[in-house]
Amino acid sequence: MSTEGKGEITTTIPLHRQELLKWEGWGYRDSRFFLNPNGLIEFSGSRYLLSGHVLPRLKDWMLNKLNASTDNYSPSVAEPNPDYIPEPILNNSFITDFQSTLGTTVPYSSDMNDRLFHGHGHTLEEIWKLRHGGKFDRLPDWVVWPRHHSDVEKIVSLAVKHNICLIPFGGGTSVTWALICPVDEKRMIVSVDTSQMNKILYLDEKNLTARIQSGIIGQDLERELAKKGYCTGHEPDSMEFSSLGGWVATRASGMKKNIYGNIEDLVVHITMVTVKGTIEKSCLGPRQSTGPDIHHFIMGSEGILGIVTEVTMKIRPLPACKKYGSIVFPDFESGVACLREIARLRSAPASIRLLDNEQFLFGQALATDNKGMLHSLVDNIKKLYITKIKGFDINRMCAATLLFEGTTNEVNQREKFVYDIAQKYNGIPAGEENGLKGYTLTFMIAYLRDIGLDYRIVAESFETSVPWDRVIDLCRNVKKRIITECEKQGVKYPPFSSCRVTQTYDAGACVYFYFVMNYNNLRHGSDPVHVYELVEQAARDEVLANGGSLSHHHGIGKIRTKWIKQAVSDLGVGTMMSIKQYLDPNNIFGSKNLIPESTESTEHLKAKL
Amino acid sequence: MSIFNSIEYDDIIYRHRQSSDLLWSLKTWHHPLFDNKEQSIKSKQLINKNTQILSIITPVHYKILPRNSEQIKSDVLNSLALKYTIETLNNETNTYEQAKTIIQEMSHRLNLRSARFLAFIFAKIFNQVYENIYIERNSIDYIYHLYCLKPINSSTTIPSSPITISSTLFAILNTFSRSSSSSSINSDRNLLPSPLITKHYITSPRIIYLPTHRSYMDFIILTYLCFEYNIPLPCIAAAQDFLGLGLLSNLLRHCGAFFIRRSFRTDLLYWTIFDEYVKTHVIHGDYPLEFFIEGARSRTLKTLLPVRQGMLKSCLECYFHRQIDNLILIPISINYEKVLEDNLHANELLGIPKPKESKSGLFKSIQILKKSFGTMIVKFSQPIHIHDAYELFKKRQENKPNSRCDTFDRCIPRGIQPRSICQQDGFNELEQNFLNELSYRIVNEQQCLTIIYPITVTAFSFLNSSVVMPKNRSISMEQLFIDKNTLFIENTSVIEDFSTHYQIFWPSNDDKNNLKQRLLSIYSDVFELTGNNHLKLKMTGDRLVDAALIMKMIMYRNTCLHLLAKPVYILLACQVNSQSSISYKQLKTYYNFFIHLFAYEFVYDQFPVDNIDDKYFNKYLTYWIKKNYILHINNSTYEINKNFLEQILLITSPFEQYARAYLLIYEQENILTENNLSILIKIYQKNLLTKLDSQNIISILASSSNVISNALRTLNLSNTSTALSQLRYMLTKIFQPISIHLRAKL
Repeated sequence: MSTEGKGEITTTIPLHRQELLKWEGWGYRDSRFFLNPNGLIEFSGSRYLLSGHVLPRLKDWMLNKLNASTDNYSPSVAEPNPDYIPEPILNNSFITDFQSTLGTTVPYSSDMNDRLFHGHGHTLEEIWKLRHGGKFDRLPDWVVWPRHHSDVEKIVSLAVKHNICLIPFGGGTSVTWALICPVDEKRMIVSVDTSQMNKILYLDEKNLTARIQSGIIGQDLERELAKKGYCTGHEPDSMEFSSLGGWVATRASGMKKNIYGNIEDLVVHITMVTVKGTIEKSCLGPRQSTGPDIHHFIMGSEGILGIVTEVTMKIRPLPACKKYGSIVFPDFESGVACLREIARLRSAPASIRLLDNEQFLFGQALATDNKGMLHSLVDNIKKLYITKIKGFDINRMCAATLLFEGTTNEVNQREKFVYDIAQKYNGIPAGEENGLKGYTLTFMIAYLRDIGLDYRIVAESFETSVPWDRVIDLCRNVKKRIITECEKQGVKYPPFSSCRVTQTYDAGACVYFYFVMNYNNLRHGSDPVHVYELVEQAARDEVLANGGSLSHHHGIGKIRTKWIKQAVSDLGVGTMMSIKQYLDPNNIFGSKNLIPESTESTEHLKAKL
Repeated sequence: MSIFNSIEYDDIIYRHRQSSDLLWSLKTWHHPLFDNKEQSIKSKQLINKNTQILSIITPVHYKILPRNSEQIKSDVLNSLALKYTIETLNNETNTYEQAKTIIQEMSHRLNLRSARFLAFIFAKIFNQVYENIYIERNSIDYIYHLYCLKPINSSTTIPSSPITISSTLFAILNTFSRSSSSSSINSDRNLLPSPLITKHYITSPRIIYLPTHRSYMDFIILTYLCFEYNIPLPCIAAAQDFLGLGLLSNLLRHCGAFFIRRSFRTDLLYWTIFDEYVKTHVIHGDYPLEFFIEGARSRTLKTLLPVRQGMLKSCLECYFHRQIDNLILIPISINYEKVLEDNLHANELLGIPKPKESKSGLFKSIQILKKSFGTMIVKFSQPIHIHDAYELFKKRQENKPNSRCDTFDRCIPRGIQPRSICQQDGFNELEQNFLNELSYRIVNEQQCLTIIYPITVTAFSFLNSSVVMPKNRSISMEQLFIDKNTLFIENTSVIEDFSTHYQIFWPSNDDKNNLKQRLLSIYSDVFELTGNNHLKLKMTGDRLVDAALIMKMIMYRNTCLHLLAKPVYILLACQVNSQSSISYKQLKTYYNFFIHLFAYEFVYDQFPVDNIDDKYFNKYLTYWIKKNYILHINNSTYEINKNFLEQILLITSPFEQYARAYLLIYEQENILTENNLSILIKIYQKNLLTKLDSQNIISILASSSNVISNALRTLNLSNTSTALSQLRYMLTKIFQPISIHLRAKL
C-alpha cells in the first residue's frame, strides 16, 4: 500500500484481487459462514458486526424452511482447475508494442488466477462454475492496470491499432454476465482493471464537488472523504467492492438516494475514453440544455462504448446525526400503503425498506447469540404484545427498516413525522437496534449464498421498479410464480421466495426479490443451474407482465438482452446501436452487453428478403 | 344404464332420496377459504381502520373477504373507474345517482340462508322430476384440489352420513346467529398438506364456471351442486329479462344471480359499472363467477354461435393487467335427457313469441313438476389455466412467420395503461386473438362432453328422409338399435377425433322394453305406440303444432350433430355426383365449402378461417374408404358405394336437410338491404312461415329463427356482395337435381 504522491489513498483492494478476496465466492477470504464444531453456524473474521458471532437459529431455519440437510455437503473445489483455463489468445505485435510504450508504468498480467478473476461476475451461474473448478469457455487473455487517464488513452489507441478486444473491469460485482467474455471472440481480450485509478484528484469545497478517478471503490471513497468531513452519500449494497466507474456504467442506485440521489443525480461531469478519443462536456454547469445529455448514454453503457476514467461528483458535508429505526406492520399491504403515503408526502428518511413476512421471519433466524435470560424475556413480552394485544398475525407481519440522516433537529423531526404516519397504518416502532441489524444484514446476504451452496442450496436476487398501484400485485404474483414454476420444474422442496421494497419514488418503488431453492432430489437428469435459470426467466417474465421494469439498477449485461427490445422498443435499441456504431465501429469494446446479439444479422436478413 | 357406475359418478338424487331434504338443506356449509380465519375484537377494529386508509393501494383489505353484497356494491361505487367515467360523462343529470340505481338493479344479494331455502325447494323438485343426476367424481375432486381441499372419498356414502340431527341443530343455530363459531366442525375439513397453503400470498383460486345453457334449470343446478359439495357458491350472470319473474328473480338474486342488460356497449356508464362489478369479483376472488358463454338459452339445444365474449373479456383483462396471477375456467356441460321447456323452445324457434317472464307463467309451469324429465348428467371439463394457455398461445404466435406490425400502428403496452380506468377497447391484437380462440375452445370443450340420449337416436331415425316426413311414419325398436350402431358405435374412431369424452346413455343389455317404456314415459307428449309396437309421433293435424313437434325432434337430434359434422361432409360431398365419380380436388373443395357454410351451425375443433387446409380431411376420407362407404375408383376419383346407401343416407340426412334449408333461405327475395340482423331475421322468418309445410322438414328447418340467423351470418362471414349468389349457385349445384333422384330410386 503506497501513500506517496498527491491524492494517493489507502486502497483496500490489492492488484491481485484473489490475495484478499475469495476467488470462488463473495467478499473477503477471511469472512465466511461456516458450521462450527458445535454444529452451529458462525461467521468468521473481524470485519463485520456479525464477525465472530454464532447464529444459533440459522441452521434450524435452513433445515426447516428449506429442508436442507447437513449430510448433503457440497463444498467448492479448493483451487481453480488449470485444465479448465483456456489457452490465452495472444496478439504478439500488441504485446511488444505495449511493453515498449507502457510496459514500465502499467502493470499487466497473463497469470491464470488474474485472468479467471477478471472473467466473471457474481451471478449464480458464474459462482457455480467457479466452485466446480472455473470452467469458462472464454476468459480475458490479459489483464492490465492503468493508473491514469492517459494510460487508458494509450491502451485504447494500441487496442485500435492492433484490433484488440477491451473489457473494462471495475469492482467485478456485476450480476448481469457483463464480464463474461463472448465465446466467439477470436481477438485477444484484454481486461482493463481500473482499480489502480483510485485517487481523489481534488476537492472543490466551494462547489461541493470532487474530481475522482473512476476506479475508486465505494468504501475507500467514503472513508477518504470522511477524513475531510465529507461524503457522497452513494451507498449501493455492493459499496465495499464496487467502483465509481461501474456505478456510472450501470446506472447504480444507492441506499440513501432519498437524500443524496442516485448516480445520475450525483454526477456533475464524466470523462470517458472511447475508440475515437475522449468524450466529455466542457462545463460544470449544474444543468444544461445542450441537446440530449451525453451523460445519459454514458451512464448505463455497460462498457460497450468506452472506459470512464474520471468523474466529478457532488459531495456533502457529513451528517451530524445518523439514526436507525424500524417499524413492524400487521401485513405487507399496510406496509406498502405506509411507504406510499410517506413518498406522497415526500418525507422519506434517507433510507426506508420494507421487508415482507418471509424476510421478516428470516431476519429473526439471523439473530446472534442469546444475550441472557432477561433479554429473551423482554423479547417474548414484546412478541406477546404484538401478536396478542395488537392482533398481528405472525405469518403476515412485516417490518420496515429506516435510516435517518441530517442535523439532530432534522432527524428528530423527520423521525416523529414518519412514525406518526406509520401509526395510521397500524405500524408500531420496533426500535433502533432492529433497524441497524436490518442494514448490516444487507452486506451479509451475499456471504449467505456461499454457505447455502455448500449445502446444495442455490440463491439469487433480482430487482425491478414499478408504479405504486402495481407494487402489491407484482410482489404477490412474482413470488407465487417462483413457487409454481419450481413445482413445474420438479423442484422437490418449496423454495424461499421473498421480496422487499427498497426504494420509494414519487411515482413508484424499487422491489428486490430473493429466491432460494434446495436442489436435492431434483427430477432425474435435470441440471440445477438450468432449472434455476428457467425459474428466474419465468420470474422476470412475470415481472414484466406485471408492469415492472427490466432492471432498476443492476443493468442488462448479457443476461437480460433478450427482453431489451420489449423494454425500450425496437427503435430504442436501434438508437443505442447507432451510437455504438458511431463510437466504436470495429467493436473494440466487445463485451457484447446491452444490445442483443442476433439483432443485426436477422435485421439484415429480413431486409434482403 | 351401465356406464354410470357409482365409482366414477355420484348420483345425488339417489343419495337425497335416502335422507331428509330439510336436514340436508340445513347441513353445515362453510366457505373453505375464509371460514377458518380467526378474528379477535381487536383485529376487527384493525380491519375497520384499515379499510378507511388502505384505499390508496388496495381498495379491499384481505381480512374483510368474503365481502357481502353491500360491500361489493359500495366498492364498485367508490371505484376510480366509475369516478373517472362520471367525470368523462359530466352531464347535467345526476350521474352518480344513476350509477346507484344501476348497481342496485344489477347486484346480487348472495347469502347462505336463501341458498338453503332454495336448496330445500329444489331438492324436493329435483327428487320429483329427475330419475338421476350424475356428477363425475373426478371433476369435483379437481375443484377440491383447486381449493386445496381434501378430495372426497370414492365411497358413495360420505356426504349423506354427516347429516345428523345434532349437526342440523347446530346448523340451524349457525344460520340464525351468523356467528362463525362453526370452526369446531370445520376442523374435519383438512386442508391438503401443501406448503403453499399457509402463505398469505397464495390467494383463493379465481374460478369461472362456464356451463352450457339450455334451460332455466342451468341457473340453479351449479349453485345446488356447490352447496352439496361444500364449495363456494358462485355469482351468476343473468339477463335482465329475468327481473320479470318477481319473487323468483329475488330468490335468484339472493342465491347469487346478478342481472345485466342484453346490450349496453354504447352506454359508457352502464358498461363501466358492469365491468367494475365483474372485475371486483375476479380480483378479490371471494366468489367464483358463473356465466353462460352462449349468452342465452340455446333453443336449438346445440351451441349458440358466435359466442359472447363480453364477460370473459372483463375477466381476462384482470389477468392481462395482472391484478390476478391466474384465472381458471371450467367449461361445464349440463346434459338433460328432456329439457324442461322444450315445447317453448320449439315454439320460439318457429317465431311463436316467448311468453313474457311472469309469475303466472311460473305457476303454470308447476304442472311440469308432475312429469318425469329423466336423467341429468353434469360433466365438468378439465380446468383451463389461463396463464398456461396464454403462454402457450404466445409461443405459437411467435412461431408464426406472419406480418410484422406496422410501426406507425402503435399498440399501447399493458405496462403503461392505467389500470383503474375502464377502457372498452383495451385489447391488443394478440390478446383479442387469444380471446377469440379461448372462447371458441370453451364451447368446443363443452360440446366434447356431450351425452347421447336415446331420444337423439330416435329423432335421427324419425327424421331420416331428405325432404318430406311421411305423416304416419313409425319406427320399431329394432330399428333404433340398428341406427344407434350405424351412427355412433361403428363410427367411434372418427368421432373420437372430435372428442373422446362423449358418452352414449343407453339401456344396459340393449333392453328393448326398457327403452320403449323410457321413451314413452319421458316424452309422452311426443310419442305414441302403434299396434305393432312401433313408435309414432303424436301428430295433431294443426300445421303449427305439428311443425313444433318436428322441430322438437330436430332439437334433440341437434345435440349430437357436431360430433359427426366434419366426417360426414365428405360423404355429403360424394353424394353430389353420386351418378358419376368425384375427383379428390373437388371433394376437398366441397368439404371446405361445407365447413364454412356451417361455421355458425356446428362447433368444430377450431373456428374455420379462410384458406384452411383441414388436417382431418385425408384421415376421414381414408376412414370412409376403409369402411367401404366410399370406393376409390382410380388415382384420384372416388365414388359412393351404393351397397351402403341406406346407412350413408341416415348419417348424412341431417346435414343435407340443413344445407337444403340454407338453400331455401338463400332463395328468398333478396332483402339484404336491412342492416340490423335481428330485424332481418324476423323478415325472413315471416316470409318462410307463410309457406310453412308441416310435412316438410326442410321447410320447418328453414323457418327456424336460429337457422336463418346462422345462414345470414355465414353470408357476412365472407362479407362480399357476391357471396349470396355464389353460395346459392354451389348449393343448387350440389342438391337440386341429382340427389332427389337418388332418394326416389331408393
